Amino acid sequence: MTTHRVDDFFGEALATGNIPKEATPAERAEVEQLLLAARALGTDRAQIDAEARASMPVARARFERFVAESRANAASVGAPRISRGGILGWLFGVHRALATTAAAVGIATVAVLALVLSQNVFTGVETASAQVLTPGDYVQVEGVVSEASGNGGERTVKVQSEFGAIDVALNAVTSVVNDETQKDFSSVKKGDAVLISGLVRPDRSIAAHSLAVAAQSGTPPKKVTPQLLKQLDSAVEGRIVVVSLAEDEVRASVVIDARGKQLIVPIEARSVKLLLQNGSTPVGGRVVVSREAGQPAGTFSIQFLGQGQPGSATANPGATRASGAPGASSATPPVPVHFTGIKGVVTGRAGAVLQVESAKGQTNVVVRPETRLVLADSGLLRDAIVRGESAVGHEVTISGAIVGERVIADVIVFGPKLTR
Amino acid sequence: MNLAVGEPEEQIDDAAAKSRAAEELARRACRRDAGAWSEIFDAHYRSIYAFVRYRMRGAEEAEDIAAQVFEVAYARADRFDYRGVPIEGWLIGIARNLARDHIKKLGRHGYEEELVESVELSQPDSASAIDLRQDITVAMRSLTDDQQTVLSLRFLLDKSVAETAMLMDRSEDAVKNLQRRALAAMQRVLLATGYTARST
Repeated sequence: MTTHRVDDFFGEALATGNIPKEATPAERAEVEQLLLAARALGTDRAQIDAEARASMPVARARFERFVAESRANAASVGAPRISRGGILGWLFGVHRALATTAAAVGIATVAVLALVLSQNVFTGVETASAQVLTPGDYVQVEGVVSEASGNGGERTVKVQSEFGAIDVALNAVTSVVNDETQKDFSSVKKGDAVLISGLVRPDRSIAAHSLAVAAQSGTPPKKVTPQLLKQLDSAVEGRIVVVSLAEDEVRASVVIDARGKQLIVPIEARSVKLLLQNGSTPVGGRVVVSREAGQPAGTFSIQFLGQGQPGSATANPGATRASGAPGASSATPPVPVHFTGIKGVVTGRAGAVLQVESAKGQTNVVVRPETRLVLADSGLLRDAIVRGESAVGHEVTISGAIVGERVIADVIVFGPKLTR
Repeated sequence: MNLAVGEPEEQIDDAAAKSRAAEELARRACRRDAGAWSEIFDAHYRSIYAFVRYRMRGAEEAEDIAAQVFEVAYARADRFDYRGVPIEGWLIGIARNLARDHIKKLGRHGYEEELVESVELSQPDSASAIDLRQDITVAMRSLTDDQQTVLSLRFLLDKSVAETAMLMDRSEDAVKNLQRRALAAMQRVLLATGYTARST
């Protein structure tokens, strides 16, 4: 028996399904063992391919963002140009001077972040924040500013959250609010207790869309390493520390603090939509996590119990959450601050501004290129909205920052069209 | 013209056209043409994901590394020498390095424990499916990097011996030899875990 003969017989058996007759018993036995191992690998192929197909849209979106940022960086190094700041901005025709300034600042920010990115492109996913912050996801997270650097066009702040330090990029596009008053992004300083919403970049920093500053300073929370929840015997209650929603609206998760233990909880997208519809700021809200029959393994449902401050649908920095309320987490919420929330019906649209009728009256809601549109079960198509579909008559729940008499939308969850 | 003569000529023309198209795509990729990179991503993402999957602890980690492969490739596009080197081979090379660095960074001992744990907890189906994935993962992890690569290329990515030889920059005989040793080693581990007994 030679190894060449075994290799040839194995090759032929793979191609034809039969071991050639000229193989000796010993050769036949060896080829059979090789075939068993090869078949074992083949058995798992369909599952791996299904995983790959499922992950492709998210990975593709991440790669497209990477390419766009790299090109913006190259453009800013070569011949500086004013960017329109994104496809939605371009399609909505954002002509405000603010948008132009913001876009220019954005390029500078991208240039700095791209430098960071190029140094971190080999980083793995071993850190706690890496488990929580998936590139491309929309996230809401709270924390306390421990470092602030940079002036002029951009400012990078390090925020100590309950699961570690996060780099957050602020620029003129970021809506910074304090007690419903718009602040300059350069005013964010060390010690500020903040609530941030934005998109996770490939290097897992957050490009902040909105940042709400609490009335009083905070102390950095104690860091706890979160653990991925994979199985659940009985329902568990906790306080939301992070909310994230993937662009495809399929993958979503929350990090909850359950009696000092932090759990990363993959949840059904339906749950996170309900969460966003329940209040402007899911972070800080109390929820019950449970398993429902028929759910995919490793995916859970959450039921919103409420915020510490009932009815705090509007920005209310300084409000105290009911951390001591029955059933609440024993951990102390580090940031008693909320974004603005509006729940109403779209009555009109002019370019990038939606007119929304709510219990508070008529409000103009500015849709920015960065605004995350959650279409849920509205029956609306993203392309149609981008092309100018007014969405008049649809229920909407908006989270964002109130600036003057307008709300700069961070997330808009569209509901069904009301029949009157 | 008789077909017996015509077919090889057509095949040669077809191969030459494919080669020209691949070279043109590579040229555009070197210039960081967004359209070219979109084509490359669509053509190779699933293969790269499958290639790194057994080396990683879970689907999300595999997605992260697979996505990084394209980011690294794009960042280094101007350094890619497309003459005679298929883009897929280049991507697989990057994937191997990223996976290796990633595992090294995590620390091998703890990583392997977590790997098995993640396999146990991430399976949606029956106990037999859990056993199968766990057994294969353990068996694959027992192989050398080259052995894992050859098995991934041959039996997960469906590459021929000739294609595998080109992608690994080895002779076809060397690939066959490596493949035989890898499968034999894998089968030994599978037998030790009782996999064959359950599957037969």
